[in-house]
Amino acid sequence: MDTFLTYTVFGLSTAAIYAVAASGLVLTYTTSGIFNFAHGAIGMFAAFVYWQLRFQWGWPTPVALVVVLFVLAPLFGAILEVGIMRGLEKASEAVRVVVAVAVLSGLVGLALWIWPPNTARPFSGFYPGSKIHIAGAAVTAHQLISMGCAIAVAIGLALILRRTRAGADMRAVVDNRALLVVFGGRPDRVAALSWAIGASLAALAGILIAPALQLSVLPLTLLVVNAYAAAIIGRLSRLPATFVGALIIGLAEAYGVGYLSSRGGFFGGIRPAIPVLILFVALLALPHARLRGQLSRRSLDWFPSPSMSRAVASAGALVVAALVLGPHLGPANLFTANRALALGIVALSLVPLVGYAGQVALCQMSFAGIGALAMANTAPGGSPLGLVAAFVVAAVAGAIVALPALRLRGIYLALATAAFAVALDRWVFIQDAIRLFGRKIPLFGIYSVNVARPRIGGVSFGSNRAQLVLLAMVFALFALLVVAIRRSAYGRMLLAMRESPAACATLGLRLTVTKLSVFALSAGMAGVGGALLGGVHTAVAADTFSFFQTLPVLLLAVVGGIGTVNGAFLGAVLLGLFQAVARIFPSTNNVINVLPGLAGVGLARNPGGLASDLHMAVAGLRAGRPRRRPAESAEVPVEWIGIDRAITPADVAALDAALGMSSAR
Amino acid sequence: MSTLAAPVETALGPILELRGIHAGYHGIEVVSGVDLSVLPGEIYALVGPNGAGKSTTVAVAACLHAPTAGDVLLGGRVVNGARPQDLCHLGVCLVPEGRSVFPNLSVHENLWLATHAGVALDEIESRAYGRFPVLGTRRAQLAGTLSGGEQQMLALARAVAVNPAVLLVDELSMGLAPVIIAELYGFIREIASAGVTVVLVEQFARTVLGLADRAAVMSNGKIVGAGRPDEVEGVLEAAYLGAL
Amino acid sequence: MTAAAATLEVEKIEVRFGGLVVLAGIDIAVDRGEVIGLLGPNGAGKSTLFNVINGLLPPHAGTVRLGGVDVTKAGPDSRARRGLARTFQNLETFGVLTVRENVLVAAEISRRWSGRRTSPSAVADELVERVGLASLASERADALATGPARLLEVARALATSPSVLLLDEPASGLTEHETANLRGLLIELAADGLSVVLVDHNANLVMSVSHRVAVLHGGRILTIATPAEVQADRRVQDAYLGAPVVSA
Repeated sequence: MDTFLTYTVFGLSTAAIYAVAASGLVLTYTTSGIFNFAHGAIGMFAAFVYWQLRFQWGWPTPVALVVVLFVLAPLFGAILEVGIMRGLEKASEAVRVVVAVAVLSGLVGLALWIWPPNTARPFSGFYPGSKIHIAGAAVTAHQLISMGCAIAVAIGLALILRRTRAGADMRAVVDNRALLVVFGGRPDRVAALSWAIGASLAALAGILIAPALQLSVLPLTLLVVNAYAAAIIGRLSRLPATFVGALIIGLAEAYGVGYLSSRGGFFGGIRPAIPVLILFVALLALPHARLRGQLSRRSLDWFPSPSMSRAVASAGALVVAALVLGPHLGPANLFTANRALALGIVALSLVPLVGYAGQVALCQMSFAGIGALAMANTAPGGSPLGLVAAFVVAAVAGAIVALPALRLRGIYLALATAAFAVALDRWVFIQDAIRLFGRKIPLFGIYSVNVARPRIGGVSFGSNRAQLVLLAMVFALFALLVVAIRRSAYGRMLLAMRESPAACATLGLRLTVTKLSVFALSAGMAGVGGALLGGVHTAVAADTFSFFQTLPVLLLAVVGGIGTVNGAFLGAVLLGLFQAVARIFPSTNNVINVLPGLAGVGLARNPGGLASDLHMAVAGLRAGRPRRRPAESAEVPVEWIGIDRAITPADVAALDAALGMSSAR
Repeated sequence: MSTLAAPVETALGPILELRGIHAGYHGIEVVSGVDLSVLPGEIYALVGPNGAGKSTTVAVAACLHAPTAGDVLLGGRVVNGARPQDLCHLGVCLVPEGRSVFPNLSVHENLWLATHAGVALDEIESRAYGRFPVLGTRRAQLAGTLSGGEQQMLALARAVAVNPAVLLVDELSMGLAPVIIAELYGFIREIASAGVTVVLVEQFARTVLGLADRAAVMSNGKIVGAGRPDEVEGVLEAAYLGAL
Repeated sequence: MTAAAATLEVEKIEVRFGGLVVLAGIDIAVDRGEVIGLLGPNGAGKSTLFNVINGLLPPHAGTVRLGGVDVTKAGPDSRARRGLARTFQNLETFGVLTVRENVLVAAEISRRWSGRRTSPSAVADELVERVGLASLASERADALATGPARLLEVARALATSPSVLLLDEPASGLTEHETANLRGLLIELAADGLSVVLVDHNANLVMSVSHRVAVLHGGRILTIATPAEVQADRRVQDAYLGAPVVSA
């Protein structure tokens, strides 16, 4: 009974922290319509800043708290809203998700830069050592304070929302944003205020949760992610239900620690995954998002249909380049190039899924990990059948993830796939083995797994140079596949589904089948990428395929231009370049970690990605000598040369982007 | 004589004027070249079938929706592109289509938000409850739980409490019983005789023509007839039901 | 072809949003080759009725039959496979695809379920030409002005070779010339046996192409009759123009 009480107290105190974080999330989402994926990262960052002030510089606790909670965090929240999120009001949901993920990624990179990991940073709770006993259970002062904070936040939010005009403004924005304008109010200021409050709540949660684990970047970011589950239970709109959700998750987790951890076995390690499993279930239990029409709007996204002959030429050029360059690269550069190409294949797998079909999934590296495991388990000698197995197993996993995801769109899909990725990397991958259909399948465990480099038709691709050629060939092959998809009826259907699911259904398209197929295809490609990445490393651990590893790949692919093969390749090149620069100039290593995030934030300006920018630049250079001179343009006045081609939608899009029209419309 | 002249002439010229307005959504043009001029203190009705572009026209007049072409003039001055909240402070007040109240806020809180326009809450409340005592008895009730008529009273009370010079009301009578419409029209007449200019957008033309001093009939984004109520009566049927 | 069951039958359809009754028992039957115009004031429930017929919105009561088969429980994709097509009031074109690709993908999708042998690409070329968009065929759909975009929606719907076509405001944003062309196209299609339900604000268009006009008011069908009868109907005038009130 005592242990039960102890677990209950523990559960209540974590629940309190989740409630604080989740209520901030709900507040910002309801008033601005943008789901703050970076909420957890803000909490993490605030905890570090607090540690710096309180423990490193020795500021008094109250001063450090006031500075973080009431000055820095609100300021950051407001700046984030005004500087980045406000411009996304009219952006597609995919871009919103990616930009918020970019902020997350940038904050993580920045924290790793300022506070290098692998340094002990003692972070004690409030009044360390003091505790009281309630009915035989010991309650620490920190736990009491956490619960007190949750109650204070609940009361404080209620007072703000009910007793101040600013609070009435917030509720009014939720009710009818346009009407507040008619009343003479300022919804933009309301959004900035709510983001300030939200960031402050994230900071409070971060500071409260930090002592429970060592002060380290990723667990802190993820732990506050658990608050997402509570927010989803509150349907992202109801604060009381959000508090109930936090209670469920906190207690479930505490009892999980208490009663499951001791059992060992497969479910023994489930504890870290409990909140994400609850998140997954809560997402599915949400009312079915009804298929409804959406206004088709002018989109800046860019999906050119390249000619097959040019694609073949580019693919050939890539392989030739690998053959030619290979012998001239040192081992370190070769490794960087190989790794970048393997990740490039994963990035390529995102093109049909995120690009064409518009499904923002955050678990691509999980599929890559499944592919690596399939390769390791089926082809220890490097048989090419291992790559086939990697494709098939990952594709099956992709279809399984897609099944529940069929119900979800936008942020809900992104959250569900993030939950899947976290459950996999924190629970399943680190198991030694899993029993499926009576067979024991080894997993990563806590160590590394050896992944063989393929031998194809008696040709060994064992050396690093041969690896480069192999990777270039696989990349080229998949690139041709993706180009062929774009040119096919299937590719048109994916793009059509992305643009208007409702219209597709009314044409007789089975959305379920189409979505499942593209998830499976994309996961299969990522699986092959993962198997090859394993080969590049020769031995890989679970953390290579964690949720956080997906983010830079996704961000760089989107920055490169998710609508095109070139974009994925550019993303891979960027990835390689970042790493090469970091190796040559070690001092820049930390800047590099922040770059994907910064680049992603830049998307708010140009959703078409770099590939579309480059295309415009090249088109601009070429404009003087048009490929096909129209018959009537023979008499073009001299001063018109350079503008004698028809203005394409892409030009208009580029102009709009240059003039900042995208956010204005 | 140009109405763009000195402000002294505005007392005689139109207080609200639209010139050559084109407007639309997502490239769909719903207003195609509308000219309108409303004189101070009159009740002006803008009628027409649904989809004719009436609501868009008043949204343009309130600077809530940017026109693709044309000018909005207030007291003879071009106010294109003004922020709606500034226009609100300048005395142009819109009661948009539908029940223009915040349903999850109480009557009191709805009036509280009207203070954004710069009038003190006490004054707003005393005026609103003075004219519509029923609202005073429902002070703490959520606006969404009021009857349709009471919601329109709240919307009008909110709009009038901030001393507007021009009041734009979109679909005041929609879904209301004739006896309630009659009461609200009585209120409109009161405020007009107190010097407030009122523009009423109504789909049900014959309902509002008895109240209006002048009217314009819209159809397919254009004004197809304007003048005194009896002058526009003739174009109504063709505008609404088409000509064979 | 015998004049057996109507191609589209809607019976006793009821839809409520919360306590608000939007449709309170709608009955309409559309014969082969018939154009039915649907008129009604704001909020009369015209788009809601389309969504019910199309399967995007399940009704609280009532039946929808296509070619005599009850499809009330079927999804929009299954109904499309039974010959139903529609356009959307809020444009739902595939913005990043070209005009031709928009029609092409519709033909490709429908070929998958219909087993028709006709080449999608020939269907696309023919329809793009027929609605008068040939000169814009390689433009991106989101670069189109409203008029052409509406026509594109019509062409895309026709690419599935439907037997019933629901048109939701096809003429809004069209120039007079484009509207005249649309009128001609509708008359042609009906003559070929296509059943059409037409909702549009342009009363002239509706009155001139419809065989019968149904007037929706307060969630019910006020009358369903020939255009001339509807125009002369006093109840219709009251529903549309309102009745005078005596102000206090």
